[in-house]
Amino acid sequence: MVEYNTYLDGLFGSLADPIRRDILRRLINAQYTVGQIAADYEMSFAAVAKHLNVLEKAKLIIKQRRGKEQVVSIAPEALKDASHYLAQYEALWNARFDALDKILEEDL
Amino acid sequence: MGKAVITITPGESTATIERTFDAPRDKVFKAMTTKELIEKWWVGPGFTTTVEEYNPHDGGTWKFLHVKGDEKYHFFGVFHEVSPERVIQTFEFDGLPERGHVIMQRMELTETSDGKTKMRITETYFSVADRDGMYQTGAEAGLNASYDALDKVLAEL
Repeated sequence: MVEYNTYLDGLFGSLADPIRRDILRRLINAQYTVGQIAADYEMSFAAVAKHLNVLEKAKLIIKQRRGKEQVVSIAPEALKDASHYLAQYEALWNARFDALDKILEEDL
Repeated sequence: MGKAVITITPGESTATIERTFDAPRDKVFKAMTTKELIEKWWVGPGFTTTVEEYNPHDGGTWKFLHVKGDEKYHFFGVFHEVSPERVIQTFEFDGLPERGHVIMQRMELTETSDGKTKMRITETYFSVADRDGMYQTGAEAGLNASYDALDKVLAEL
């Protein structure tokens, strides 16, 4: 709680933007080149490249050079981390509330 | 009765926890604020809970002890407002290397027309780092990891 985890902060921060979430959603099923991704959005190539850089810094995507092109693919480990933390917390609260449900079945 | 819905918005220092209970509000409030009952439901993964202090009134203190083998932690705070509609309290955890990471919690209970109770807890942290750290602490507690949640996260993206 005290140690500032910049990695995790970057992870959540990078998921905050709808364009970046949209890019990630596309990458779940396929790899695309930077050019292909940029062509799908009504913004400049540079603006899309900026979003990709944020995602890359947060280790959510991986960019690999293939010939003249850069191919972008998702880094599933990073997403696993984000969901992992939330899932743990959910499990804790669900355990508590399930126990509370049992108490509520009795006459208090 | 369903699952808790936890919402954390990236970049914000709050978290919300929502859940519906199949009981009227007064009953839910009683279960949540009765010392002996808290020990039964405010559980931790493998920990036993002992309520050492519980004074649910304005300015009253609360202190819970979690024990698992040699591990001992306290959770504690002060009540600012206590009613079946709304409980406002602070929350601190003594397992940290330093003090000062206090969370403000507001719990609202609303009875629905069919006699159920909707609970909504809003947690406000001093910083995004504190909040995200709390989620990690939960992870380190070693609860069963549900990697299926990855699918859930992906579906929501």
